[in-house]
Formats: sequence, structure tokens, C-alpha cells
Amino acid sequence: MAEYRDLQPRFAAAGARVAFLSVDPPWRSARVHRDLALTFPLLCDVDKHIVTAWGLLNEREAGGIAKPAAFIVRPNRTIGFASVDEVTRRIGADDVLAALAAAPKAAAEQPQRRAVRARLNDFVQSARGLLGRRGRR
Amino acid sequence: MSSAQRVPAVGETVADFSCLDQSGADVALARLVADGPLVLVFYRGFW
Repeated sequence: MAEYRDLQPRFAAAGARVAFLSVDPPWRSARVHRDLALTFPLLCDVDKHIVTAWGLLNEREAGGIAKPAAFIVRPNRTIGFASVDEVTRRIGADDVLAALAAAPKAAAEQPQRRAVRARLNDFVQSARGLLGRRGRR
Repeated sequence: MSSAQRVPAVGETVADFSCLDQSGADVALARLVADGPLVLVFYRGFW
């Protein structure tokens, strides 16, 4: 999040807006927004209708939260880029910037190593869940 | 229903949606993309 905040001028230069979305309520997002001095909106999908429709509801954690993912949505509401990480890892803002600059074509494939790391993170998260620890992002 | 609950792929057109932002204001996807591309990042949240 801070990464996107710091790269905000470059997203603006690319003609793009940035928005983050989670199932957190506005009061909690407002605190994050203030504490991190964010300049982009935090969307609050409290009833989870968006994360559900987008196939991004992770029902195994905290009563259902969003899976980390990043998209570029073009003005006609078509997807220009999509990257989904199953549990904890997310594509870097730099990679999204590069995708913005690139011609809109096929989605960037996750490198094998990243997939392996995601599975490892998945395992760690599951283990933490079993131990009853509460995680943060 | 199940067809809508897939992660949208590149080239797919997504339905408009709206929800509140951190300030309690109503935000629609259509408005966010009105002037150019939107980088939309889903995050786990803080709980």
C-alpha cells in the first residue's frame, strides 16, 4: 500500500488512478488511510458482493476476506491486466506500472518460483490458522 | 451465478459495481475509470 502511495506520481503520469479494495468497514479503512497518508481511495466491500463476484473471496480466513490481487481496468471496464495471488503475496507495484506501459495483451504469467512461494505462504497461513493466531496483512 | 464468480480474465468486461470508500462516500467503478485506466488492488484488510 505504501509502495503504491510512493509510486503515485508515476501512476498519475501513466494516466491511471489507483484504488484499493477490501472487506474492511469504512471506519477501519479511514484509520489506515490516515495513518499511511494515502492519496487513493480504500473501497469498502463490507457485504463482500464485489470480492464474491470477482471470485476473490478467501472464505478460509477471518470470516472471509479478499485474496490479494491486482487488476488494470480500462475505461470501457475491460480487464487489461490481472494478477491473483492465492493467499498472501501480491505482485509489486513496479510490475503493475510496467503492465500499464506495455501494450494490453496477454496477462503476465506468474513465474514458477512465485507460485511455489505462494503455496508455501498458503501452508504457513494454514498452520497459523490451526494455531489460532490472528494474522495481519 | 457461478460464471460471475470467476476471477475476470484479461479482455473480459466486468460489471459496474459500487460501494463506500473510507470516507463513507459512494464510489462506482464506472466513475473510477471515467478518465483513464484504474489500477484496482484487492487487499486482505486489517483485522
